[in-house]
Amino acid sequence: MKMKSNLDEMQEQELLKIEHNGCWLAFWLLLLSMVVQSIVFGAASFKTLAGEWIVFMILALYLAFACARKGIWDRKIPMTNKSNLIISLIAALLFGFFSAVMIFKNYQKPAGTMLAAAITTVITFVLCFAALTLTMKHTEKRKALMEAEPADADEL
Amino acid sequence: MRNLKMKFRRIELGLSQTELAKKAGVTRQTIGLIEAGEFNPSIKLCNSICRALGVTLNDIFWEEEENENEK
Repeated sequence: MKMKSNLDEMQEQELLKIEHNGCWLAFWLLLLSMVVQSIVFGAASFKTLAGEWIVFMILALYLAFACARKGIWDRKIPMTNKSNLIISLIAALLFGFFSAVMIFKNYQKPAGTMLAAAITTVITFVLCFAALTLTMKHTEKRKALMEAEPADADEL
Repeated sequence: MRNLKMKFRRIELGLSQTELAKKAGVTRQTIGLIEAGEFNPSIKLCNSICRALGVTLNDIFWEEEENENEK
């Protein structure tokens, strides 16, 4: 049975805004919490991070798949290889820096740390770019499918 | 409830959903959903659609009270 809403249109929009902000607050705070715990507690914290990591991944995958299914990419960022390259590069550099901090904290070997961080950066860039490209292709297909004029569009 | 007045006016002008969407600055899906009565557009979007169709808000978006309650 469909329950009647207690909200009017304006309140409904306000609630959507609150839920939107809450969703992104949870997303970034979860990520920040995992980064801080990893740096402060080191490799020993990975087991204790499992819960946060699972919630974070479910949230991230849900957002990605739900948007792709509806043919939605982003409000501002265009659906192009160039923007995917830039995003992948930023993600790879940030994760490379994080890896360098983690590796140096554990082994205190500058040369080894640089090499390992460089490899991590390259791998992250490739994986991130591949994931973005695949998602973009799928989103493009869904968008084209949804934008196609249906056969009964002119039937009254 | 389906917006047949809007659909009828679009067909009358010989426009496809895609063409109307382009004129109103939205996606085809949005026009399809409005015609199917599955999406309530904002007054701003209603204005754009009316301008594209050369009609007033009253012509295509006004609903009699008994129809309005069917939603």
